[in-house]
Amino acid sequence: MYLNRFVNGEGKYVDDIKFDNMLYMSIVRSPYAHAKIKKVKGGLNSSELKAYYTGMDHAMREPVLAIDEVNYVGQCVAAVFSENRYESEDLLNSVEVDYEPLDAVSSIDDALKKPAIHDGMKDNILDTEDVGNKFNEKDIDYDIKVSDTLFMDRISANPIETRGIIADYKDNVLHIYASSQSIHRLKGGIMKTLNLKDGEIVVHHVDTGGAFGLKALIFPEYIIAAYASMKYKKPVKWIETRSEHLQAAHAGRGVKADITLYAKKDGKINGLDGTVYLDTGAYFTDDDLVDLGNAMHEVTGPYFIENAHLTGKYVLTNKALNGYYRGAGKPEASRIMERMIDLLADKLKMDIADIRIKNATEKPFKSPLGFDINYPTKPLLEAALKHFDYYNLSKKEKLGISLFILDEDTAPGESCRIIVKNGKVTVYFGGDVSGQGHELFVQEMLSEEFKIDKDLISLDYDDTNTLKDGTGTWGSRSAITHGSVLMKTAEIIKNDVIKKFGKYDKDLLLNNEFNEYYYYKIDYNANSVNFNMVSCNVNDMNSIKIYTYYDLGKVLNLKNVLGSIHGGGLQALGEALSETLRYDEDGQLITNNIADAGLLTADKIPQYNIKIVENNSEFPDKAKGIGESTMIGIPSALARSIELQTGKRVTKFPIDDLSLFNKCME
Amino acid sequence: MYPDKFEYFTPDNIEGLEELLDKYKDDSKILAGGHSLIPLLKLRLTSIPYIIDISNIKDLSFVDCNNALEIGPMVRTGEVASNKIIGDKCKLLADAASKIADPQVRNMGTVGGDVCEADPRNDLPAVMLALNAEFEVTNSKEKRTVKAEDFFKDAYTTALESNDILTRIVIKNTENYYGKYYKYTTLSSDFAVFAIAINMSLNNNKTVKDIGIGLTNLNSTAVKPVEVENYLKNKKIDDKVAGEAFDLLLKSCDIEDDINGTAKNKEKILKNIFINGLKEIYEVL
Ligand SMILES: Cc1cc2nc3c(=O)[nH]c(=O)nc-3n(C[C@H](O)[C@H](O)[C@H](O)COP(=O)(O)OP(=O)(O)OC[C@H]3O[C@@H](n4cnc5c(N)ncnc54)[C@H](O)[C@@H]3O)c2cc1C
Repeated sequence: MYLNRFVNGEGKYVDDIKFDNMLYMSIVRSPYAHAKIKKVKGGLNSSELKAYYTGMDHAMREPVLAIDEVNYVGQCVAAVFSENRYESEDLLNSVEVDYEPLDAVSSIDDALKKPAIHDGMKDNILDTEDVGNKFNEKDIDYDIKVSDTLFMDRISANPIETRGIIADYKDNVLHIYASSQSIHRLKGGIMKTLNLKDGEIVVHHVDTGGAFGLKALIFPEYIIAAYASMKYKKPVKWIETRSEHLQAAHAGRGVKADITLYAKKDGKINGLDGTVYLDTGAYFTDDDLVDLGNAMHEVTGPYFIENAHLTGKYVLTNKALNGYYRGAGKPEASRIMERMIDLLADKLKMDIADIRIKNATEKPFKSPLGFDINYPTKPLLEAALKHFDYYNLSKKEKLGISLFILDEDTAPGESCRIIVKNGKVTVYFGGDVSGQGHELFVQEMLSEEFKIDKDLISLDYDDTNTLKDGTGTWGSRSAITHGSVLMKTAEIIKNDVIKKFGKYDKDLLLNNEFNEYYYYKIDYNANSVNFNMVSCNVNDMNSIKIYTYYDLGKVLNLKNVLGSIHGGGLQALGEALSETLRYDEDGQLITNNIADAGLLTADKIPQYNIKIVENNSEFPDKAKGIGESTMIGIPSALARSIELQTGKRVTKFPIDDLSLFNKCME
Repeated sequence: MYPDKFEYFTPDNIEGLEELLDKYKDDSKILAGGHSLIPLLKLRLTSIPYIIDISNIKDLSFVDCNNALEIGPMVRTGEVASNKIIGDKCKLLADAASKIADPQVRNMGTVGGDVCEADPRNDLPAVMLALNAEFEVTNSKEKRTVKAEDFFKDAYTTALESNDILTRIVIKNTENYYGKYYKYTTLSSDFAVFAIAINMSLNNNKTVKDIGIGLTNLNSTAVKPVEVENYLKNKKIDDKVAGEAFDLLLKSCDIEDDINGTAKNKEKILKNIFINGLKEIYEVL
């Protein structure tokens, strides 16, 4: 199996690529969360490269290199280059920067109280947005009202392979080699910032060691490397250190919500109102819109609630920018709802499953917050409860449950190229693989479709020339988008064989040459209904049991599915229990290594009880999504299991309580 | 890793090491297992022009037991955890070493390095205090013995001068002792939030004959709560005695709110662990 190369140390990541005369880039970063720059001398700084890299032309975008001020610890101030990596680190000391430190804002609460961090703004609220139908509590039918504040702290993506890039400008073309979820998006971003025309840039996808949403973004360091390569006419490499990653890479979550539910005595919820805050960090990025958008639109989730309204606030702080993290707003939305419905159940002394059944639906529906739910939610909930014998098991184990919609970012579709040559079949996707093992389902599906050996099929990396268009790998989409475009393109190839020879057989395919490109368009986001249940004994970390009941449509490859659940399960435990980025009041990062940042290791992998149901989707490959499900379903269910034992309601993530899970070593 | 420039030496005997230390003085540092020093170099938190790797010096790597248990500083903590002599003679030390980090760290890190680094979170300083260990310190001019309780001065600070070498660790309190290392961690870090090392022996009448205690990460450096040790001597251990001992123990601690939790929460957990630990060891004996 050619995926073995990763295990055998034969992967070829950005840092494994070497070119002659290559320059290494090191970045002079701000040591202050907020300061005026009185002087900067040396290195490549904004007196030469004055540019903004974020997609939308927003007034509060981040400059590629700081201009006159810095707004978070780790912000890029200047860059230095050397053919020797050690020397480029040494050169950091050659840049002189005079700072005048200013007061910093290091949390959402701080930001709401303190003066604006940016000149020209009256406060730290970048934008306010309303979704749903504003209602008056007098006008709705309710017996009980429950309110609470929920908080999900910041978390860093922390892929095993940190960010990295090589920019190589030669023969008037800028070649980019990057660890990325979407080289097409990266291409667009670099073109826009550096005013390049099509034909002047090619982005190459290379082995990518994890991404978790982060690598769908574009970063100032990438622009600096690209610019420097064009300036020096040499390849320029930048590889992020773990310290830089924790400090400066766009971080996820950072969401606070004040929520009120209005319900009848029987548990039926008739209204939801509240405010959701997103910690955007120091500047605006396009992904803020996606994160807070999802976190608001999806709050009512699988439940039919007739009146719902939320106000969203984008809040500026002196911290690294906000970015995507596995789920990008979806886990936030679900966690808000699931924690609130548990609270309501407690107030009404109802069972947490009963109250969910009461609010789930028999039909697809559109929520007042604007979320189209494609499937009824009650049948799956009831089937899952029955499958795990919830009502009996809940007498023995401390169970938390979570019913959720997985919103799959299927739009606008995906591209694929299949090349048949020399008896081998090679596949390229526009949406880049970042370590999930797409190779496995590609081999499984194509070997069935073409009736050929798996070993003859491989997934290779595209560049922006091989495939003229492409989307990306994120949002639980690949099984649907990549799987479907693969089916479609395979169909075209089979038709080519039939057109040419009047019939299809595998020898006619393999003994000839074919080359087809196809973009499978999808103009909406699909979704599916899923369920998690978690139990634990709060004195024993190894007692955590995760019950999973996911509707995956047709399973394309079981290994892919199990990998996603096993790894994602551990990642979800980390987010629930310990993983975070914490700052002091001066905006300095306290959690500046991966142990302090709370990452869990494989010895903490929980027990799994996995049931997969296959209700086919409407797509050509009949698949549904999975990637973000564990992050959505597990943390809130675990929180419930814990609070049942401690008697302390959980409203903050990570829960991070030293006394939980007796950590006295045996 | 991208540290500042340094020159690297690998002497194969102690005289060679002494010569280099005398020559480069404060600009030099011993490298043992490297698992404290290299992270500092890598993050450029320190810069050392002359690094002297002592892993080739065979005379620094031994485990002997004649009258006392004697351990060379270059013995890896993984070896300390699994060595038969150490396991037989000193349960506390073997137990604590097995609780250091993970196999990769223990395969490199050394007992001498763990002690000399004197990181308040390191496990072995408190263990050495509980064991009343003695350190043989050598330089080009002299050889002297420093007691563990005189060795740890402050965070990352010991009684060693820049030309001193820790050449031998001597542990006398082995016969009839039993001990254990109670280490509390977070879910994600191997370093102790706090830990307690206890080494105990009993009289025939079931009263405490001798007890050694060491505390990890409960103050700016490892501490030995001598008052608690004295209080417990000649007493039988029950809940009341253990509770009173804990109140005395708190005097040696400086517990603060930090990233791991509030001082209150930590104190509560600590109390539980200390009292249960004392009772557990007492019962084994
Ligand atoms: C991920 C990680 C987790 C860890 N977790 C733990 C843990 O849970 N518990 C724990 O106790 N430690 C932990 N450590 C630290 C580890 O045990 C180190 O190995 C140890 O602290 C230092 O020993 P060393 O042999 O590596 O020393 P080095 O790093 O080589 O040296 C440390 C210091 O001691 C000096 N030194 C070394 N030997 C001598 C000598 N013979 N004479 C004079 N000076 C000397 C050096 O000059 C240097 O200043 C961890 C380290 C890492 C990287």
